[in-house]
Amino acid sequence: MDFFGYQEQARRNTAMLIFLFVLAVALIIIAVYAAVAGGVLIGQVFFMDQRSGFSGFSPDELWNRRAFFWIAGITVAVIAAGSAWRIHVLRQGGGAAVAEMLGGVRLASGGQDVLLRRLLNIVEEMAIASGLPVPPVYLLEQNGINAFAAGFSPSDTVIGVTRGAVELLNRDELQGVIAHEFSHILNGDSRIKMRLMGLLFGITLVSDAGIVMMTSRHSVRYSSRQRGSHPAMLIVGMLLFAVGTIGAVMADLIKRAVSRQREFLADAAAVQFTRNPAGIAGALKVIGGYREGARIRHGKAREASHFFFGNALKSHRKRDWWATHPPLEERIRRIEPHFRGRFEAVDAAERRASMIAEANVGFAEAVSLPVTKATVENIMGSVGNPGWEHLQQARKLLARMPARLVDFTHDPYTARAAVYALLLDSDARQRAVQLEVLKKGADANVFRETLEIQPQLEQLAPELRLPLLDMMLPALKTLSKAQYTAFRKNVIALIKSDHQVSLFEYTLHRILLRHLHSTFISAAPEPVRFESLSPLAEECACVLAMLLRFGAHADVARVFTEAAEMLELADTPAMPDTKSCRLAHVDHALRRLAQTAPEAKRRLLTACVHCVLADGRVVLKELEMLRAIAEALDCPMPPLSAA
Amino acid sequence: MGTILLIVLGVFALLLVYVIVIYNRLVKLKNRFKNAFAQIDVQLKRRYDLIPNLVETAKAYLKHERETLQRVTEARNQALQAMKAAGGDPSDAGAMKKLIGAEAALGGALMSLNAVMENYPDLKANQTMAQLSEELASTENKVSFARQAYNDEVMVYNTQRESFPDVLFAGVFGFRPAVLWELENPEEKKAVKVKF
Repeated sequence: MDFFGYQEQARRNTAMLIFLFVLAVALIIIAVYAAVAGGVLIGQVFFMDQRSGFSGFSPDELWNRRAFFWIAGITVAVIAAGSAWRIHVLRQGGGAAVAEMLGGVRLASGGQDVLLRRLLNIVEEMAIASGLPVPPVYLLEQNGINAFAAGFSPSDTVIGVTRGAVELLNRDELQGVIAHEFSHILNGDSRIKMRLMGLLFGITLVSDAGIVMMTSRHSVRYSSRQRGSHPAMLIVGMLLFAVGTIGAVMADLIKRAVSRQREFLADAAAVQFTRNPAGIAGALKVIGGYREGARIRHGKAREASHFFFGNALKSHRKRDWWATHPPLEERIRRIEPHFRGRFEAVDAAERRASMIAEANVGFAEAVSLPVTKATVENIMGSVGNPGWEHLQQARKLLARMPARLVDFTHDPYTARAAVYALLLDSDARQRAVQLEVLKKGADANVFRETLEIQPQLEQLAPELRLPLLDMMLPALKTLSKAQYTAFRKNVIALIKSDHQVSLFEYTLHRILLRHLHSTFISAAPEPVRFESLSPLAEECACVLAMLLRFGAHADVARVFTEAAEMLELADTPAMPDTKSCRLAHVDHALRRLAQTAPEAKRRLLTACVHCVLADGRVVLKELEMLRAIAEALDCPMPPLSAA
Repeated sequence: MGTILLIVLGVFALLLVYVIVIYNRLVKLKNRFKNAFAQIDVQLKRRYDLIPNLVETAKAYLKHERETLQRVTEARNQALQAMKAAGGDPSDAGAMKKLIGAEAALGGALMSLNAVMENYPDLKANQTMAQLSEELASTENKVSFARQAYNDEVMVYNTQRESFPDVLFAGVFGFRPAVLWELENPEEKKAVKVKF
């Protein structure tokens, strides 16, 4: 199955999820009814108070329809309120909310720490290799070896890695783990997991309330220095926790049903991506031999257990039917069939020292590969399914990036200036106008930084400009809302200063809008409004015509017809002329095309790739346009090289 | 009577949901400003790493200004300590106030070092010194930028915390008001610049 198939499946899987959820709710209603009926019954037996005429229950009539409907109504209302609210919050906060909930701290730049730098390098090359925006990385101060990816769409996805994983895994192993997480992002698993987390909140609510009450006792004591002041709250908390266990167990079961198979899939994808089975298998073995395993010691670890790479909750060696993850031995055996199931004990201190030594030596070199022929099938096959070649290509790309520029991209302060500098025109007169605009809009220091960065960017190879922008995204996501608003205003002012929008400016704006705007406004993905492309024939024609304009086609009309046929439209549209198909029209078209089903997106993207390749060469403008289209459709496209 | 009992039960249940909503909302905002603080932390660390080098380079030239250099080093060490104390929990008002104070003292010490250096043209010509002070100035800018982001997040948190009905539960659940990082006097609001 390819990327689009997985996306389609991810959409359908929601149905199964809802079924399981409804089942869970029904069971909880029955359990609550039984508990209430049992409680009342016991009360009546003890007090023998038949006189008060409590019509609810009597020993002869345990089944009371009216009471049942009341209880069902209350339970459903509580669950619905909890889940709806949680989903709403997750949509707003995206993956970052999950990472922060687990106590993660956003890694801006590695700073002086070589191991953290190594981690960021791995994430960056993987992201560029798979055509995803570089996700922000959160560090969890946990000794266990674990990692997760969370987010509704690639733009709001974050990756979390524990301190244990950073310090105890070597580069290959860490890369295997990160590749596993990228596969979750690409297969739409992280979206399902986010939904799951929101939905399940309702049914774990009661036990959560219990936990909150039990743990909040500490903070009260802490602040007012009244030791153990709320024993009542502790008792109520314990009661709620006990009653809520039904919900918690059901939630675990649902997670298990959804996530087990996906772990195997992600492991397999990681092997394909890194072409190194020893990496991910090694990581799993280290977890097996390590005393802390993959443990996450955090109050919210249970709620997020299905996000993690390894089992965050329990000792991994025991066979555990409730676990969201398959046992380690089984996972390793799928990668290395001859594994005997024996784990070597891990000496943490020793491993840590050797990792630092390894990281100091240097970073992985790119391997030169024979160039694979760029065909429509090859390229479409790699969408959301990046291979080793792409990883090598990304490494090469990154190796060409000047170190100083890379430093600029990692800091929110300088990254802003770098974006401004990217937008500065090569024409001196135009640039003067833009600088005037910037001088007014941005603060003096940023203005100075922009001037400083600009000459370095001028020397940068043009095809490195978009990857550079990709690398800045995590830093830009750390802006506060007020800072983002000011930044956005400046970017738009710079783009508009010359009264025309160039392709690069358009693509840049598109990328920023797609990946930053969602961070600050809402992370909700585009809803699917169109199952086929037929109602959007004009929009498709506009996008294809624009793309064709950048190539050197001998017979444009023929290529257009070929591409249009790939769309499987009800009737083939005529090719629009230049006037009725400018960037503004394309933009409008892409906005609507973003609301199509995955299968339709595949067709459109295939037609686009055909347009790019039809003349036998790929130029930078075509790549930028293609990138803007893929961005709009939310399809991660591994890097293509310009011929 | 059964109906009344059930209604009470229902109201209680929904109230419970609402309280959990409030709790989680506050936790989310608290995490946000904690993370914003982590960004300041990174820059401050960088700054504290730079200062010993700066002092070391200046030492060779400023033989008669021992005291000024001493003051910078001391202020830096105190600020470092305060940062470590506050880093774990920026909602601890005491630790934050200490850090803000220590940072202000460090800024003052650096400024007087600046003034002293004006009298030593050889030092101004020193390549290493020029580089170091430029980096220090750029780090300073980054600190103030990160501080701005932190203050924005603190503002959101404090507003939510003080709004009704969150204010009723904030205390019970141990959510303390967070401290804005404001510079104390207008003179210090200007970034410390090591100018030549």
